[in-house]
Formats: sequence, C-alpha cells, structure tokens
Amino acid sequence: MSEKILELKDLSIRYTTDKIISRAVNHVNLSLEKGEVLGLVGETGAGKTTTALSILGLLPKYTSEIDGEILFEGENLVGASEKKMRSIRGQKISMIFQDPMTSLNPVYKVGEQIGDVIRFHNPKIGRIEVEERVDGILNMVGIAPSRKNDYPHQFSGGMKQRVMIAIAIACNPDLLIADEPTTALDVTIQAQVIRMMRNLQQELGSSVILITHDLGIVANFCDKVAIMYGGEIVESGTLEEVFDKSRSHHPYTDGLFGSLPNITERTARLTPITGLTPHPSELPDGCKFHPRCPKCMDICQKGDNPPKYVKDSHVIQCHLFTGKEAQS
Amino acid sequence: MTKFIIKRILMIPIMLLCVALLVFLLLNISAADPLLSILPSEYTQEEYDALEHELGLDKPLVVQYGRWVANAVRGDLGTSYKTRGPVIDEVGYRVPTSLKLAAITTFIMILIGLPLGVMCAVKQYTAFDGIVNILAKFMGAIPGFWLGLLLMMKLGMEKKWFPIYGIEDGWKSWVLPVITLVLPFIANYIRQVRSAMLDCIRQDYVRTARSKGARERRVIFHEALKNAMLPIITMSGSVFANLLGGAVVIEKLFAIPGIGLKIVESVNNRDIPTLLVCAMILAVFTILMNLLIDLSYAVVDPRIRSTFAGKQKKKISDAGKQKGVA
Amino acid sequence: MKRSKAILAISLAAAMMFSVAGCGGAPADQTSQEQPSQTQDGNEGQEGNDAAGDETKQMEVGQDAAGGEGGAVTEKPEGIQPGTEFTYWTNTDYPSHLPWMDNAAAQLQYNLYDNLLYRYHADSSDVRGNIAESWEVSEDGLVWVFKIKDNVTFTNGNKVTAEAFVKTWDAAKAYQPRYFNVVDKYEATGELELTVTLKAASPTFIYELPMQPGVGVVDPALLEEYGPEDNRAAVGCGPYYLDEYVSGERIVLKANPNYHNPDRAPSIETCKLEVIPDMNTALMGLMSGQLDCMNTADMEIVSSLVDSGWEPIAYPARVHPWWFNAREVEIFKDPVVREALCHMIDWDAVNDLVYNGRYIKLESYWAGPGEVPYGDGYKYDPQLGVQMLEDAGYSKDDIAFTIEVNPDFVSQITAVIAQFTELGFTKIEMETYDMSTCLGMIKNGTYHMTTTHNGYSEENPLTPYDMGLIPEGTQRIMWMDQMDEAAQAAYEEALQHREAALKCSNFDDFVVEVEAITKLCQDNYCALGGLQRVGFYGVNPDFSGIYIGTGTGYLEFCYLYSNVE
Repeated sequence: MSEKILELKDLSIRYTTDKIISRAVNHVNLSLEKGEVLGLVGETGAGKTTTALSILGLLPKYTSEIDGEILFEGENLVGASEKKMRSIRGQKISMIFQDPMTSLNPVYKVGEQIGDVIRFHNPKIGRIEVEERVDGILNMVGIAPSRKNDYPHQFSGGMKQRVMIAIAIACNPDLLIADEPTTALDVTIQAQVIRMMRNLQQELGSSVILITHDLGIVANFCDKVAIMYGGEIVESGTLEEVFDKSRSHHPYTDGLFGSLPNITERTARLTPITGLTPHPSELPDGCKFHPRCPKCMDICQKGDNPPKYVKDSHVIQCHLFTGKEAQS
Repeated sequence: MTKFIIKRILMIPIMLLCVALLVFLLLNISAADPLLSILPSEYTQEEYDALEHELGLDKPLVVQYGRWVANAVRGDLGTSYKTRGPVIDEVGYRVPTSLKLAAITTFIMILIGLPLGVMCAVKQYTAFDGIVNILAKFMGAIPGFWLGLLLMMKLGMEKKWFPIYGIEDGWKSWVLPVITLVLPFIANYIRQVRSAMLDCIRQDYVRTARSKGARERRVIFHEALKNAMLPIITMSGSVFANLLGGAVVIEKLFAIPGIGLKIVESVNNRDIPTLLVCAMILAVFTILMNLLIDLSYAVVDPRIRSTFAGKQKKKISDAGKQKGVA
Repeated sequence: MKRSKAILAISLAAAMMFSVAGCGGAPADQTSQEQPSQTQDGNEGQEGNDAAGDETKQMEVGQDAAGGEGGAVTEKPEGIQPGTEFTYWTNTDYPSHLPWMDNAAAQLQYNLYDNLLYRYHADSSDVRGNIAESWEVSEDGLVWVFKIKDNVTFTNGNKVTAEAFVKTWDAAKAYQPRYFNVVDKYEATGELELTVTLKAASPTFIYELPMQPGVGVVDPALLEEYGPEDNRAAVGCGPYYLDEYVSGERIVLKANPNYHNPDRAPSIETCKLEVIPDMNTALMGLMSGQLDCMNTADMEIVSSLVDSGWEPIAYPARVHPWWFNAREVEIFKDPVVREALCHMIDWDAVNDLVYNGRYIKLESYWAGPGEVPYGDGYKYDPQLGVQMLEDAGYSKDDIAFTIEVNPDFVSQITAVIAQFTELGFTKIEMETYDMSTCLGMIKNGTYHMTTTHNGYSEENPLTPYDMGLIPEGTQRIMWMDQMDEAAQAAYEEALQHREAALKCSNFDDFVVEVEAITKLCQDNYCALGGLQRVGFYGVNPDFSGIYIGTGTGYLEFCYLYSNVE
C-alpha cells in the first residue's frame, strides 16, 4: 500500500475583498496516494483552482484565509515559511496553468523559462548541464530542442501548453497539479496533450491532480475522481465507483453525466442542470446544491451540510442516502 | 528593420513641411507686425517700405512660404528679423544646451522615479505606497517658477551653494534648474510606473514564475519589470521630447539659453524665420525620439522584433505545422 | 544760446526727460517694448527729481550718481584699474555686433563705437568733439566740415581716417537710412578732413549722423573683407572692445588701452554683460553679488531692493499720455467729452497707489524741450467733469470705450478704471495685449485709447509729431483732424508750425515751433494725461561714476570706476 502523498484535511479557504466574504473552499477532505491520478471535477467557480493554488501557497496574502491542513508528505503546508514553500514549488509540487497564452512570459526565451526552474532549485549547476537537461525535457514533451531559443509567441497554443508542461516537470516533481490543461486547446490537440501527460506520468511516476470539467478526460486518465460543487466535495471515489451507471450518485453527478451529449441517440435538446453555480459569497443554506436539485427535500434546505454516505472509497454527501448505509 | 527605420526617416521632411506651414499660418494671423519690432520707435514710411521689401514681407503669404521652403532645402535657414543675422547662429548653440537640460532632467527623473514607482507597486496598500503617493502629488502641485525662485533665494543667494543663473559654473549651475524642472515630472512618473508595474504583477506569467519557486525579488525585477518597460520607455521618451521645448519657464528664470526660451522670444518679436527654425528643430527631435522609442520596443519585446524579422521565422513554424505537431 | 539754457533750466527744474528719438537710443525703447515683462528702461533720465520718492537717491547732471560709500577712491583715477570687473545685465542677447544691425543693441554700441562728436558726461547740452577735434558749420548750416584727430586708431591698430567714415557710412546707409535722409553727400576732403553737405539746414543734425554710435566708424579694411553683416568686421575705436561673446550667455568687453579721448578713458578693465531674461533673477543676482548693477522700472523689484537695504538711483524715464482715437470712437470727437474725461482722473492717486508715489505726474504731453504746461482743462475736478457730461446730454453709459494696454500698464489702467467706475462710468474697459500686438494695433489705428512711446527726445522733440500727427505719420496717435471743427482748424495750424520747424536752422527757433504744436494738441485735449515713468538702477556701492545719459539712456561704462582700493 503506497503512502499518501497529499492529504487535505477539513480545508476551508475564505477570500475577503471590500468586506465581502467569499467562501471558496468549504471543509474539503481529499487524499492522494503516490503515483495516483486524481480528477477534480466541477463547474467554473466551484473552487478547484483555489484549492490547487492553496496547495502551492500561491493565494494572495492579504485577502485570503486558510483553515484546516494541507499535508504534503506528512508535513503541513498551511502557515509554512515562504522559504520552505519556495523550495517546494517547482521542485516537489508544480502546477500547469490553465491558459498557456498568458502563462508564459512573452519577453524571455522558452528555453530560458524552462531552465529557470532547474536553476532555482540547483543554484550551483553549470550552464551546459542546464542546457542539456532542457534539451532532454523538450524532447520528452515532443518539442524540438532547437526551438529553445524561440519566444512564446512563436509557438502555437498546443506547443505553448507543452512548454508549460515542460516547465512543470523540469525538476521531476512528486506532485503535479494540472489546472484544466486542455481547456484552452482544440479537441485534437487535447488528445495529444493528454496522451503525452499520461505517458510522462507513467514514466516519471508522479502523482497528478487533474482539474477539469471534462468527464471524458477524466475517464481517459484518472484513477480517482472528486466532484466539487460550491467549494465542497459532493462525491468522490475511484473512477469505476463514480462512473458506474448502476450505482446511485449525487444528483449533481447525475446532472453532469446527464448533460453529456449521447453519441448514439438523436435529441433536439441537451439536458443541462437547471440554474447557475452560486457565487462563493452567496452560498445557499443547508445543502449548497439544493436550489438546483431535482430531488430536493425540505431537510436539504436548511441546517448543516448533509451527512456523508460512505461505501468503500465512495463518498457521497447527500440527504438522499441517509439511513441507507452507515454514515460517517 | 532597416526598411522601417528608413521609412520613418523619410517621413521627416514631409512632417517638417507641415509643421512649417502651420507655424507660418498661425503667426501671420495675428495683428502684430514683425517689422515694428525691428524698426526703431520713430520710423518713416520709406524705412518701413524698404524693410518690408528687403525681408520679402510685401509678397503674398504663399510666395513667402514657398521662398522659405526653397531656401531651407538649399540649406539657407533664413535671417532673423530681429538681429538681421543668420538664424542658425542664434539657434544652433541652443540645441545642445536644451538637449543637456532635457537629458539630465530625464535621467534624474528615471533614476529617482523608477525605483520608487516599482517599490510602490510592490508594496501596494502599505504605508510606503501611501506616503510616496502623497509626496508625489504635493511635489507635482508646486509651481515651477515659485520653487525655482525659492531655491534660488535660499540655496543660491543666502547659502551661496549654487550660482543663481547661467550655465558657466560647471555642474553646479545645473543643480537648481534640474531640481525645479524635475519635481513635477517625477510625481507623474512614479504614478505611471507604479501603474504599469501593477498591471504586470497581476499577469498570469508572474504566477507561473512564483509557482516555479522564484524569489519575490526575481519575480518583480526579472519577470514583471521587463514587461512593464514598454509603457515606461514611452513615458520617458515623451518626457524628454516635451522638455526640449517645454522648459521655458526654467530657462527664463535661470538664464539658460535654450530653445524653448528662443521660441517664446521669437513669438513676442514675431520673428518668423527664427521661430520656424526652432519649430523645425523640435519637430525633428520629436520624430527621432518617437523612432527611438519604437526601436527600443523592438529591443525589449520580442513579439515586436518578430514583426520586423518576419519571413525567416515564419518558414520554420510553418514547417513545424506541416509535420502535424501542435 | 540763452534760450536753450533757459529751456534746459526748465527741464532741469521739471526733471522730465524723454527717451531718444533720433539717436541709437531709440533701440532702447525697442528693448523695453519687445519684452514687456522686462520693462528695462535703460534709457533717458537725467535729473534727480524730488517727486521720485525720498528713499531713492537723486542723481544730478554732470555729477557722480553712485556715491561710493565704502570706497576710498573718490575720484576717477587715471588709466585702467587693473583687475576690476563690472558685471551688468542685459535682457536680450546681442548676436549682431556691428553698430547698424540691431536696433536694440544700443547698450553695446555706446561702449564699442565712437563717432565724430559726443555728449560730455551724457549731457545733451554739452556737445564735444570725440574723434573730431574740431568742426565748422557754414553760415547757411548746409556744409559741415569735421577735422579728425591724428592719433585715433581702431582697436586692431589701424588708423582712423576720413575715408574710414566714408566707407562706414556707405555700408550703414542701407540699414539706418534715417540718419542720411537730410544728407546730400559726404566725402573725405583730406586724410583727416570730412565734409558733410546737407540738403537743408537741420537743427537736430548735430545729434544724429555725427554723434550716433549706430553709425559709428568701423575699420573699413575689415568691412571690405567681410562685408557689412559679418561680426568679424565689428572693430571700432571706442573705449571698450569686444573680447568674448558666448551666444545667449554673455558678452565680455575689455577696456581699450589706446583710447584716444582722455575725457572718456575707461577705468574698469572688464565689463561683462550677462544675458538674463528674467528680472527677478537679475534682482537676486544683484543681491547676491553675481551682478554689480541692474535696472528696472518694476515697482515690486524696486520695493524688494529698498527693503533689502539698497538705495536705488532714480532717473526719469518715458512719458506716457493716453491718446484718444477719435477716428474709432464717436464720443471722442466731442471736445466736451475729452475735457470732461481729463478732469476726472486723479493721477496723483494713481501714482501713489500703483507706484508708491515714485512716478511723476505729467504736466504736459512731453518733458523737456517742447513741453508746455497743461491748461486748466486738465485740473483734477471730477464733479466738474461729470457735470460737463450731464449738461452736454450724455448718460453715463454713453461713455463707453476700451483702453488697449500692454502688460506694463495693467496696474495703472486698472486704477484709472477704478476711478471711472467710482464716478459711475462702468462702460470703460481694459484689454491687455502683448507688446507686439499693441504696436500693430497702433499702426493700424484700431485701438480706442492707448499709450506709446512716440520717439520723443530732447534732441529732436519734433519726432512724435512726425510719427503721430501728420497725415502720413507711421504711427498716428494724435487724431486732431478727426475731432471737432475747432480741433480741425488747430490741426491745420499745427501742420503749418511743423513746416516752419523743418525750415529752422537753429535749435531755439525749432523748439518754439514744437512748443506751439504741443500747445495746440494740449488745448484740444488729444490725450487723457498720464504719468511719467521713473527707472531705477541698483548698483554695487563699490562702483562710482554712474552716468545715465539724457537722450542716450544707457550706462556708458567709460565713466565707471571702482572706488575700492
């Protein structure tokens, strides 16, 4: 049994701007084993990016507050010193950001930007060795090493994302957080990038948190799934558990799956989930999904969060399941 | 790139013609008569007519303008109405003086303003930011003439640290005028640098840099600053061009023989040839300054460099595309 | 000759001198007119005058003005005082150093170029030979023969001959035609003899061609080589020569060790003219010691000087009546209106309010030869004025006109308008324009009421009428022919007097005619009255020998000396 590389314990994150409190993340519990790929699924505004940023300590200092624990390899990163965090970023944990267009610095060469990561964490390394390593990494992501002296604007979107990936894996991190890495790319490129990431993950043995709203990618790549809504994990489990049609799921999960277009049927209309994702500053009472839930009951509308129903590693947070199985 | 430079330089004569035309027309609209400034206060009609004929002012405006252009092209920049001497003699030596004043002032402005602006951006919302902001606003509101006189009085007359006027005393002569000139500009500069930096600090690539484990200082000075350079360069260049002709008040107060002062004097005397040449000089420098700014964009920003390089790179990326690689 | 002495006595007593007309001093006016913010009145002025305020030192003709209080040296020493330096200021640069090129460069020309005659100690009544050791005038006043001294050399060593004058004047003619208008011909009738023949006898000729530094003699060899516009030909034989010129910054003059005239021998070794465009800066320069002398007519500067313990020297400057333009303004055609307005302004009050009483109230349109005291029509009696207008059927609003003012007079006219307003005349307004525009408006005759310097000088008091009265005058300011019938008749008479003046062969008769014209103008109320400006010099007390010329108006450095050991 592999150890847990990352564990989020009762993590809550609040933003305060202009006296408005936004509860972006609410009592989140997650864990990840070494070598595992976790898919974090949810709509925009669900709190996925905030969770990711908090792991790296990249939340804005003055306007955010974190409660709970983020345990990385056993150590709590919440409140850790800046120096400690710096040594972790890029080297132990790295992140691939969502928009490759703006995430690369336009005025520096690509090779330089990759080399930076290596240099930050190996201060005494020689120039030639850095060059060699950069070349190696570029090869790994499928970019000709001769392009390391080019600037980001000379690359297409897909290539830019590969560069971002190259930057992320440059120091062979233990944990890779990929925040919607293919959202900004078109479908064919998506497939390439995902395939490449999967190969890399297998080759390097890193753990991955893949943040996405695309269930197809999750199916392709992930070992575990966590579904996030309103800053909370409403359902989580292994890939099989969550994707199993025969089981019951959280109404939100049902809604997500239900809104996918069916390739075999012909319909005039797709079935969306009614309503809009709530803003973190205006979260509903009781179960945060209740205004949009087709199976909403009275008990859902008030009080605390619904209790969690647990079966093996499958956890669902919903009143519907109360009384069915043992509750945690 | 060379094509671009050449094209811009070729534009200069056309712009100069337009500026000359505009100045010419504007000056001739007013009721004032340049001849009256030259003639002694008791003059006869014959003298007036003779002078008018000699200076070519009895011809219609179009002819006057045409003559001026024809002469200018041949290198004869005209004779000053007031002193009857060649304009070049009077204006030529003023150019280096004005350039010097503008250059020193711009340099000091950047030297003080850039670090302060960057620090304000980094320390946004802190006391530092607030204090610098207030100080900057205060300095920007001080009228130059008053400040100049005050400095002159306290530091020049009472303490005798610096000469009161003139530029013959080496570096000491430049201290008071530059201080007076620079303060209002620093105020604005700090605010603009701060704003440019803040824009850059909020960009995604800064977040990427942090996620790589970069130190905060590196993030600011390496990642963000270079991107903020574009607006900062523009600002610095335009301040310089502005100062060339715009330091009139300071030039007058400290008796610095500069172009700005010459322009004001020429307008008062309706000395059209001198004014035209001064306007030309300022126009040329402004155009050159703009060209320099554009070129430095190319140095700082590789995206702009690419628009100049063009073809070569395009071939490679096309080839890459053909292989089906994203 | 008695008559001229009497006239001079009057002028001495009244202490009103006017600025140069026919002389190169006119440029001085130009200077002040060109930079309105400067108001440097380096010109005119002679007499001390009690009205000029008791804090300022008076200066008398022929005497040393700046008393060297700290000084041990009380008399002008022989020869050049080695190592002495006098720093003066100038408002504008003088890029052209030849005598005839720049009309505003008189300050330079007086020190660099000599002519045949000069005024001793800047006194117009004392004309002596400078380069000429003697001169003779024919009976009919047409032929003037000048005998040139034998020992005069240019500062480069070449000898000054009659031929040099001929060559110089040949070149200068094109640039300063007005000195040559009355001249028929001039020729060198000997190596050291110059004969000038006039077209008609002229009482003012003696102050013009033979005296003005603007046509002072220049080395003909250099003129030949470089032409009449090149500064390299600017070599004269004056008490100073131009040693260094830094464009836009300063001109350095050095004393001429071989100067020919012991009465004008320079004492100060180096005289520097520093170009300082702003008067406040010059004030501070003076107070800090960077400048030795500055002059101004600005009351604030003068007050600053006085407050700092300086004792500025006062000299009467230009006279400024405010002329009615009857051609543009209907009501000015009525003599009742004009006289009424003249009654309404208390010029003493204006003087006190705006100038701390330092200026001088006018008692005539001029000050000096040709002046005639005002009649009773100019007495301050506002109620009489108001009554006159009422009786004539004018309502207060009918009296509407605009006074065109250049920046130097804004305070003065504001005070005047305040008085009008107090009397109920609210439609009298003021508009300010820069000096050049004002000159243009005067030339075009488009103003309602304004003031200008009309070229009056005690050497040629007829000039203002040549310019401002006669129909072909270039700057009409006296519109008698546009006023009522009586004025029109007076106009014809005035023209006749002018014709007569032009025929006079001696100065006394000449002045009589001018006085007649003045009386006609005054009796017909051509102007509102006004003030005479007073200029002030602040001088480092280490220097003595300040002579501010009548008619020249400039500081002649050759009389200066340092009174410190």
